[in-house]
Amino acid sequence: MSKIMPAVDVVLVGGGWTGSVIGKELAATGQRVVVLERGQPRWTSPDFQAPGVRDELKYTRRNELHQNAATETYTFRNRVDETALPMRRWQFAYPANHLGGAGVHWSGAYYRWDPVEFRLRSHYTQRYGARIFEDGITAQDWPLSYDELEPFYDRFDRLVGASGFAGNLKGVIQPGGNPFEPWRSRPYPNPPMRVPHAPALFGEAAAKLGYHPYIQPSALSTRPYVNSEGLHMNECVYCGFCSNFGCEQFAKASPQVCILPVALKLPTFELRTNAHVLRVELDKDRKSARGVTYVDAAGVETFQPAQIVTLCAFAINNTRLLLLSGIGRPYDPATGDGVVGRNYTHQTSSGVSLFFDESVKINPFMAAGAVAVTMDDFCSDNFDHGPLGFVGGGYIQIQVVSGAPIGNRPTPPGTPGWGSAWKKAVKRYYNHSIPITITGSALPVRGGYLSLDPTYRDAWGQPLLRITYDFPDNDIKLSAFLTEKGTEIGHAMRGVTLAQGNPRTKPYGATGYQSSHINGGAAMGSDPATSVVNRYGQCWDVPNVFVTGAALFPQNSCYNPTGTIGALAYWTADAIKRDYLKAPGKLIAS
Amino acid sequence: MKHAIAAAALGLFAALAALAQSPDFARKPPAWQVALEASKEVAAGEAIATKGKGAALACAGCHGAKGVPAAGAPFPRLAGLPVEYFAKQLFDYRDGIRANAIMGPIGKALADAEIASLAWYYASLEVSAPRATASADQPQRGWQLARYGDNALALPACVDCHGGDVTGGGPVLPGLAQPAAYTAAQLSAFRDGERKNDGDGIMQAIAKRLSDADVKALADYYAER
Repeated sequence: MSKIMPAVDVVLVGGGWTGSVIGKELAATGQRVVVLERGQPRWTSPDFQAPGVRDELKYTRRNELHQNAATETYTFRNRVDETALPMRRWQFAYPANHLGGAGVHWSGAYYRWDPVEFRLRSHYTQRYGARIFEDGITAQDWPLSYDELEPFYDRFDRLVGASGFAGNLKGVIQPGGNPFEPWRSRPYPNPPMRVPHAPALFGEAAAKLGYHPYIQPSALSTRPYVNSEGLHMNECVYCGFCSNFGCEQFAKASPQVCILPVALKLPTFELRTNAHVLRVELDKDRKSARGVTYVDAAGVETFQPAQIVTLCAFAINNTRLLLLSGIGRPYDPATGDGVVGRNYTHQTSSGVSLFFDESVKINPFMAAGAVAVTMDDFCSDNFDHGPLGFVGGGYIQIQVVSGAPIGNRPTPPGTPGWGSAWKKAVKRYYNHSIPITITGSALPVRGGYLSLDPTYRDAWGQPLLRITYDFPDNDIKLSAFLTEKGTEIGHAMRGVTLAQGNPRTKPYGATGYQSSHINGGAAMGSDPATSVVNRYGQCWDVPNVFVTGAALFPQNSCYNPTGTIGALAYWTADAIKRDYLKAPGKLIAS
Repeated sequence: MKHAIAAAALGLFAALAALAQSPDFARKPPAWQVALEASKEVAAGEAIATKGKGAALACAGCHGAKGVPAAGAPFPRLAGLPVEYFAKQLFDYRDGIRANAIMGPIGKALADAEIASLAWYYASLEVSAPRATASADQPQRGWQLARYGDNALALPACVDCHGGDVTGGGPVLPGLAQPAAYTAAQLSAFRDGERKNDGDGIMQAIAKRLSDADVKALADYYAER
């Protein structure tokens, strides 16, 4: 028998970006809101202050801000005829934990997605013919367009203090910006980041080859900024502790910095940390949710009744909650029927290792998570795919993320992995090496999906989420193409003595980092036969349950997800306020 | 439809062609950095510091014989300041970017190489070990702001950037151990917009969120370091 809490209007599972945005928006209209965060409360001061926060061993190697793989992890296999095994430590991606979620340990790379991404299937079919999609690719159009989402991107820009130089203002290309950028209604609220030496060299070479390099947009404030909630952000100081760390400066946008202090002042908003949600509870007819059951900090199973349940957990963990709660029909790869768990994707990343002569000093410690010179010439459909025979694209860039001493040990190919020769190479190359980073899109495949593991369970006795996936040939071709282009740029850079491209190869694995952008399983769509939620994130089968975040992506673009996730959070909050609350329990008409 | 896409593509390519010049991403070193590389004459710096040069009074007059001012004086310690910070400030005084009735004319009387020499000289001076602080009357609020910042005010700890109290946190990030009157005057100047040589205004924004009591607490805290 669970302990029962007083009923509220809205319960949100997860205290990251989407839970904080939607929770605050609804609480501000008078809805009684509870956000349940499974992790601990962590605040910029005192928790993320130096010198304590600059601890690579604690934060990166021992995953301080990541999901605890000892209590809850994923199992993984490439194909349905294999038995999946649990990931014992995070290598392929970094699922988030604790207040703020991935919005705390992220890098701050901040993109809008290209309009083509939202109509991927129809756009490519129209321009190249249906056969450009290889058999078994389950890519599909989104149920909304870039133009519809633009005002919400704009809104999130001003929450996070986005930095960048507009490349396309209301359709007019702006000199000095990214000419491939989707149109924006207003400029970025803050100017672009300063450019370290290595990205400057990359930009010089890319421009020489006729490409269009620009400074990557970021959610690291580049000057003192008061955001749309009236909260202060400071100027990024390029300390090099963004990715996997909390920001000591109040410069990297996070729910703690950008929205929670305002939400917590609302009498209708409550944040409950150390509250681990087990499942959504449904009525007998299974068409309406009654609330959620969670385990509180004292280990007591607790029921939180609510009129609306919003799933705001990390990416694919929302898909797991749907499966654990019996919401929506689980996907069956044998028949192609069912929807929950379908369209899992990751990202097709690769790199080019660059080694320089000793006159070129990289200073990799003068860094920030999102400081890069990048180019979109090979993103989306910005180039002719006809002769290439694949779908999708990727950005090519040099970013200076970190010179942290455990992880940053570049050595040229052929260097022994230990001993005096290795030490000598580390010393020679620490300050004279940096990779070109290539981040490519990912297409979903019929045999790639998320499901509940039949063997392994978490610390609460619930089945783990099982990932079954391997790359489609499409994405391998894409990676080969992009990596070759990146290698050409590397060779054109001043001071480079060796440029070694490392394209992504099969099989997809659990041990190599690709990005933390794992997506899907609760695809947004216009047809209940191929999607879990409608265009507002509302479950087709249980209309008072909303899903947010990267679980909604029918496939992944090459761009980082947070900009789109934030825009979608405002989009969903708006729909709930405008339409759903007037007709609770009903599907919002599209 | 294909025609429409082709036309759109042509339009884009035309627009791209118009953007012939691509942005130059390379950083241009500021004049003070060039000067520091060009001139490292510690002895010349020492001569100016102790005897002055033309309209530039001897630094030692106010800032003390070895760059440490007399107790109770409102002038900052110069000993052990990073060369970059030191040189940038004198360039800023000279160029009027940092306004000060005494230091402006002194800056104007010095050539680039002389400023650089002074910077190298003062950086070479030993700084005595920080004074032991009396823990019983440790100023609590100053300690909190310096070491942990203030979450509600979105203030990071001073030490995040400024590092060691004496040694500092990096090239243009001086240690903050300074006389109380100097620290209070600088924080007030940043807060009131009288001092603006902090790049994009990082210190002005921080100082604006400090109360008078916070300024005093920090000044007292760093005076004891």
